[in-house]
Amino acid sequence: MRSRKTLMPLLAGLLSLPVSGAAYGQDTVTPVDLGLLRDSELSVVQKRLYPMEKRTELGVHVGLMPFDAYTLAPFARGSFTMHRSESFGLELTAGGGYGFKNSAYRELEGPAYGIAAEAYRYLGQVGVGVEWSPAYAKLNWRGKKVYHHNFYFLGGAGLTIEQSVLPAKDMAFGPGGSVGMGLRVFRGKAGSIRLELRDDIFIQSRTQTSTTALKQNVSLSVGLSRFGKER
Amino acid sequence: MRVLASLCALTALSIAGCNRYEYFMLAGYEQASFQNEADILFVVDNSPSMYDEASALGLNFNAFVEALVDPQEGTGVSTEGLADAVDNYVLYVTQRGRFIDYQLAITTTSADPEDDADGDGDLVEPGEVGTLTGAPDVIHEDTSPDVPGDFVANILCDSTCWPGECQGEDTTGCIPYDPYYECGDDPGEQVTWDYLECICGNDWEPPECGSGTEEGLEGALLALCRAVESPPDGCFDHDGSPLVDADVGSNEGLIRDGANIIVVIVTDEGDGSRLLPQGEDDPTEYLDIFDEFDSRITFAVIGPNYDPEDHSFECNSGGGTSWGTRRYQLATESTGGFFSSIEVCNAPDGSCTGDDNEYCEASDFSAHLADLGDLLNSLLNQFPLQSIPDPDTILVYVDGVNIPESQCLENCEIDSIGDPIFGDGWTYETGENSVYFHGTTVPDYNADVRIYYRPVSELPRSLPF
Repeated sequence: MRSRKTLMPLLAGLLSLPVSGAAYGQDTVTPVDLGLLRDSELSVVQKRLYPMEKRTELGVHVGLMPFDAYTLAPFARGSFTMHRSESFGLELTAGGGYGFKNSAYRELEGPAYGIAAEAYRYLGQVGVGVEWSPAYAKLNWRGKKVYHHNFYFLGGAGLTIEQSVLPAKDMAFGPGGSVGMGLRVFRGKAGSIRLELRDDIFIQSRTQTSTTALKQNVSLSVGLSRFGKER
Repeated sequence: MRVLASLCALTALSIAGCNRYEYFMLAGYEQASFQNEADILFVVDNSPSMYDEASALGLNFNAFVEALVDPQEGTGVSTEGLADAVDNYVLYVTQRGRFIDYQLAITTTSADPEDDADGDGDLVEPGEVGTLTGAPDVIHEDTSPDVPGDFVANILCDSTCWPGECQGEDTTGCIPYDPYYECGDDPGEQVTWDYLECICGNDWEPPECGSGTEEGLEGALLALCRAVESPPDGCFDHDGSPLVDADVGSNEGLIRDGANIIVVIVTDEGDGSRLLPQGEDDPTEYLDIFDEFDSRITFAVIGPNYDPEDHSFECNSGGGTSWGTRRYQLATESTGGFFSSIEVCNAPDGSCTGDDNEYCEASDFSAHLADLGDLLNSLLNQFPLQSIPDPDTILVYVDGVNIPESQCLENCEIDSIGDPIFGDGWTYETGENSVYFHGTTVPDYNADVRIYYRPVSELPRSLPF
C-alpha cells in the first residue's frame, strides 16, 4: 500500500507536466488535463505465475468414499482437463474401485440383528464436466516458501457402475450428475497436487426390491496432475 | 461472493444427504442356524420276539459311529495321542460338518405303568413308561469313554428280552453258551451268555420283558416329556397318559437346547399307542404334541416290512398290524426321516408271505445304522425364519451360490402322505414359516446358508444405526 500511495501523486504529477520536449518546435503547447485518479479507479492484477489457459491437464487421483452408511470404497480416478481459460475447463473423468461392507453392515447382518441392506458397492464411474476456478492465490508458508494455488468447483454428468452387496451381485448403471470443489496446489509450471471433495449423485435401479433410488457417492481424493504445453 | 457461498452451501447440503436402502431380513447366518448337536433316542421293542433284532442292533453299532464321525470317508477319526487331537481340532474348525455332537439314550416301547410282567411289584422298570435304561442312561462322549461299548451294554443288558438258554444242539429261539469266548473278543454275529456276562457282569440278570402292547410313539413322547422342565400340555392331558408331575425332569440331560432330536424306533410290530384308536393309521395327534417341543424331531423307524401300495407284509414274524406300521411310516415321512424293514426275505423265489416264513431273517442292521448316520448328516434342511416373509422376495444362497426355488416334480407327484414331491431347490412352508431344501441342494453342515427376505410388515425391529 505504501508504494501505491507514493505512486499516485507521482503519476498525477507526471501527467500534469507540460511536454517540454515538444515546446522547442511549437509556439503553443496545450497540456492535457487527465484530472486526478483515485485509488478506487485503479486495479492491478499480477500476472499468474502458473497459467492454465490453453493447456491440458492429466491427473491421477486416489481416494475414499467414507460417507456411505454401509460401504467403504477406496478408488482411483483419472482426469483429463482442457483449460479453455484460466477460469474454465472441460474435464473428462474415469475411475474404478471396490466398495467393501463396513463394520456397521457386518454387525447388522450378524446374528444379533439378522438384517441385510440392499446396499450397492462402487465399482466405477465415467463422467464429463466443467471446472470453474474463480480464485487463484498465493500462500506464504512461514516466510520461507510461497505456494500458488487455486480453488475450483466442479459440475458435470456421468454414469456410475455399482454392484449389489447381496449375494445376487446385481449390477446397476446409474446416470447422474456431479458437483464438487477442490484445491489445486501448483508444483511448478508442469504439475500440481489436487485435493478434491466430490459428490456423484445418480439414479440407481435396485433389482431385488424393484426400487429406484437417488444415491450419492461422496468422495475425498488426492491427486497429482501434469500440465501439457500451451497450445 | 454470493455465487461462491451458494456453491459451497449446495455442495455441503448434497454431502450431508444420506443414502437410503431397503432392508431384507437375513436368516441362516453361520452359528445362528448351524446346529450339529443330535440327541438320539432309541425306542426299542423289548417284547420276546425282538431279541434277534436287538442283538443285531448292538453288534452292528460301530457302523453308526463310523458314519457319524466321518460321513465322507466312513473310516472314523483317529483319536489317539496329542497329534491326533491337534489334527482333529484343525479338522473340526475347518470342516465342522464332519463332526456331529451326538448323545444316545434308550427307552422301550413299553408304556403301560400297570404292567408288571416279572411280578416283582415294580410297576415301572427301567425303560418303561419313557424312562431310560442303562448306566449312564444318556451316553455322550464327554462322559462316556467308550460310547459304542456303553450303548451296546445298555441295549443288550437292559433293553432286550432274552429267551432262555439253549438246551442241546438246537440254538433256535435260545441263547447258547460259548465256553471258548474270552472277554474282549469279537462276538461275531451271535450273542452268547458268555458274551453277555462279559459286558453285563457276572451277577447280571436279564431284564424284564416288555409289554405285549408296543407303544413306540407313546414311549418316545413320555421320554421327551420327562426330559424337559415344562412339558407340553399334551404330555399330561391325552387319554391314558401315565405321566405325573413327579416324573417331570426325571430324564434330565436327554434333550439339549436347540439340538436336533432323532427318535429311532426299532420294532417288529406296528404302533399301538394309547392316544390313537385301534385301526387308526394317522399319527398326526402324536406329531402335534411332538411339535410343541422347542426342537426339531425326526423319526426313523426300523419296523415291519409293509408295503402300503399293495397292503401286504413281506415277512411279519412279529405280527405287526398294517395300520400300526403305517403310523410309523407316516411319522417318518412327515418328519423327513426314514423307514427301513426289520426283516428281509431270502427265499429262492423272492417271495415271503405269511407271518412266520422260514426264509425271513433280520435285515442288515449295519445298513440301517449307516442310514441313520446319513440322516443326521443331511438333517439340516429346514431353516426357520424370524419374520413372516413376502414369499416373492425370498433369496437363498448356499456358500454364495444362488439356490433356485424348487418346483414340484412332473405332474406334481404326491408322496404317500399327500405332500408333493419337489425337485432340487428350496420351498417355503407357510405353516412352519420355514424354508426347506430338497434333493441335492440340502446344505452340508459346514455350508454357509443365507436366506434373505422382505418381511410382510415393516422391519420387526428398529435399526441400530
